[in-house]
Amino acid sequence: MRIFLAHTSKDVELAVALSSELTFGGHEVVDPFAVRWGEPGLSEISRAIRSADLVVTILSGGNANVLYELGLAVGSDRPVVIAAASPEDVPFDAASVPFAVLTGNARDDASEIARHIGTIPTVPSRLRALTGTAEENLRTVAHDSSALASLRPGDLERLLVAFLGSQDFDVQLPGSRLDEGYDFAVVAPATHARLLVEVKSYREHSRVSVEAVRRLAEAAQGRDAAGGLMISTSQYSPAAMAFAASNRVVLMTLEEVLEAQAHDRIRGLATRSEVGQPQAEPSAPPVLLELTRAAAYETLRRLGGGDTAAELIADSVASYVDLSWHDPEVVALSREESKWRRYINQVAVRHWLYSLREPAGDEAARSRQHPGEQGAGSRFQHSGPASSLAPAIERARTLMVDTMVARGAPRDDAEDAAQDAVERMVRDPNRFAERLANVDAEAAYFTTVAFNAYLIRLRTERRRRERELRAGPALAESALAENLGLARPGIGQDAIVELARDAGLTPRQMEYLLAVLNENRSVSDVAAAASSSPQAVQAVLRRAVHRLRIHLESADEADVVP
Amino acid sequence: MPAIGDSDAFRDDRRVLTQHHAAITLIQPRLTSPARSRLRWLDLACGRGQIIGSFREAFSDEVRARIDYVAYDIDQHFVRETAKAAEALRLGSVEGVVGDLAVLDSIMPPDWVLDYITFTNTAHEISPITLVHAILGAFSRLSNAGLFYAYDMETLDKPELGAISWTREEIDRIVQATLKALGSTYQPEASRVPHTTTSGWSIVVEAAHIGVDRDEIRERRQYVIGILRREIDSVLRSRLGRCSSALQSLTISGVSTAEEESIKLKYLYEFWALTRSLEASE
Repeated sequence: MRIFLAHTSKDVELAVALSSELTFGGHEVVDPFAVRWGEPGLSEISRAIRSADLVVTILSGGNANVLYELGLAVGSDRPVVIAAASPEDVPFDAASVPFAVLTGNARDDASEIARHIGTIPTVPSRLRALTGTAEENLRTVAHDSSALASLRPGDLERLLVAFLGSQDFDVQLPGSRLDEGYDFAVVAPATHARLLVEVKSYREHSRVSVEAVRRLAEAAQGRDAAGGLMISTSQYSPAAMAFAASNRVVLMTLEEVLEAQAHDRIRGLATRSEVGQPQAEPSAPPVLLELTRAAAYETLRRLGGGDTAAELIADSVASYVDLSWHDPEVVALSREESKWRRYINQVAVRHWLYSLREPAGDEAARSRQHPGEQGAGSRFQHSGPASSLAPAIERARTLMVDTMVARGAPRDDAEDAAQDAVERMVRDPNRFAERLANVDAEAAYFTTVAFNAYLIRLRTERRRRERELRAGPALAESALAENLGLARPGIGQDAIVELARDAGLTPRQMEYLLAVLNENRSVSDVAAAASSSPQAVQAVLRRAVHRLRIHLESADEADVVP
Repeated sequence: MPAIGDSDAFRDDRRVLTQHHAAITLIQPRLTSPARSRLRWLDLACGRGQIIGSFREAFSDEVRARIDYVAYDIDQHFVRETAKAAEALRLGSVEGVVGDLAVLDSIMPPDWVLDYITFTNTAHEISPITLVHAILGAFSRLSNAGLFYAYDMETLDKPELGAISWTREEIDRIVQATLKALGSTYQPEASRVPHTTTSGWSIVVEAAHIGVDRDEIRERRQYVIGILRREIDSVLRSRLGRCSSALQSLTISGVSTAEEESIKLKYLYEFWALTRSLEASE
């Protein structure tokens, strides 16, 4: 993210500390002291601010330059974080902007500002004319800050009145033009229960404060309404959300109102008077869920996941957090961003690994999946939403194989061991999630896991040979059928399929195996039919045989146990 | 009526506040009515006489001479200062009364009946039950065509220890409950007065519509106080619940915006004022 840092020379120590922290965090920092001033300098500053993804303003002593830069940032609709020693230093119009209190300790202050920056999502804007229906216009406004900025006072309220009216709500406008503490009311047709609605047209990076929610709660109580419904173009402060949860107020963003199920939710709230009752299952704050989603998405992309799969799993991680919000430990973790990010990384990796085990069935997920993300040519078959994470697995597998080969392992053995390692990870996600989530330890961890798997494989192989020596040449390496013990009388295709399923063969392994065993097709034929290479087919068959053999051996061992 | 130490009476003759201008506008037709030669005006909690600061510009000498002005405050220095300023304006007559608003009716001479009673910028400074006493006292002193005008801020720009400000809706509830308890069907409505950074409320009650005579109001005083005590207790408890909830939210979730940083302190002031008031009423 490109961050413009507005400050005075007095705050240079804090600016340096913050710059260092942000640069370390991967951001690009633009310092106005590095921009040449004078006549051209003004436009340079303006350009720097307009091109920034976010502007940090350190307000101290009402410096005109800093206030000018703040004005430019607000005017050009850049997200802003204000840092000042006291809220009284903040211009009234910017009172709802994310705000960090300065303590005078540069290091602590830099961390606090960086924490606020971390909570601000950046969304590209696009301009579209508002010429459609109320719903279309609301959708435009919800996604386009410049369209929102172009609305006149009261336009957004009018759009919402028209939209909710078109959704069969009985909308009532207040009799007075003065501020009644709410903009309009919606009434549920069945019960005539009334919700007072207050609309907040804030810049998207602002936060609606607890005071605004409290005013709506008071208005609702003063008018014997079932509760309050606040609709904002921005998010809400965590305190506002906490207050609303127990004070007969429901908070929604404009985007949420436009969701299909929102109408049922509003109607339900009005009819059941659900608002105001402490929720049986508390929900995580939406801001935190956004942060969670973004962190999970980042982790999954880092692991090589495709965009759609990473989004899907990030969504599932956010849902998981929401459902876990009753857990005090989870809530406690959320209070410190670094701990929270670490936790989310673990959850994301765990979800990813679990998703690899899931059978196909999520129609919605599949329908949303981009065809280009299917792991074509991958050595693994993944049917869940994470199938596009196959590149990540391939990357891990390649890393393991290369490392083991470089240290003297035969390539075939290294490949088998790598597969074993990945399968072990998939089978036991909890065990591996923590280390996988740590990007610094990822490469070393993959290598360690692979070597462990390799050692296990060697040990298994040694035991097998020992058994062979004891049992004689029952399983010959040369012939596939003999190797598998499938040449036994009475074993047909069904038995092979059943056996393959029991052994946990993938659909591709099973398909190739049946083609070779039952249809007597050559490896080259199978490769041509599958649009793959003979080497790849051989590798799949080799792993299939390996798995079947392990399965048969373990079954044999189980058979002899009294 | 500085019942709390944090309050400060204000006077700037060059500046006419909205509420004072409204007070003057309300009474202007009565003062200039050919049918009326005198008008007795009670300025409750007069402070340093801010409301009369613009009298010289608002009324001619002739009209000012029709005003019998009574300055009422708990602070004798304020009463003296305001009475002195009123005398300089050559009003018809000037009286000063020092006393608590809770004993308004009993402290004033029995034969005093007022045509106009103003009660501005004070409701937040007195205890809720004193507020009811003041309203009842004012009603019981209004002439048959008398007018009661009250105004105060809904929130205070600068918080004051122990101050309880009221919203328009709450004042509506209190005044209407008072009238109902008195046996009146009159339901005057308070209005909200928007300002730059905050808002105020104002209410006008006309004696002619109350429909209950002054003696009856006095007789029902204890009954009304009992009803209003419960009503106000309910309002304050409800507000304390929301204030506590807001503070709890900020305690757990932290402060995110400058608005929340500044409102935090106001909540703490409010919490103290509400707790203090509720403890006093128990």
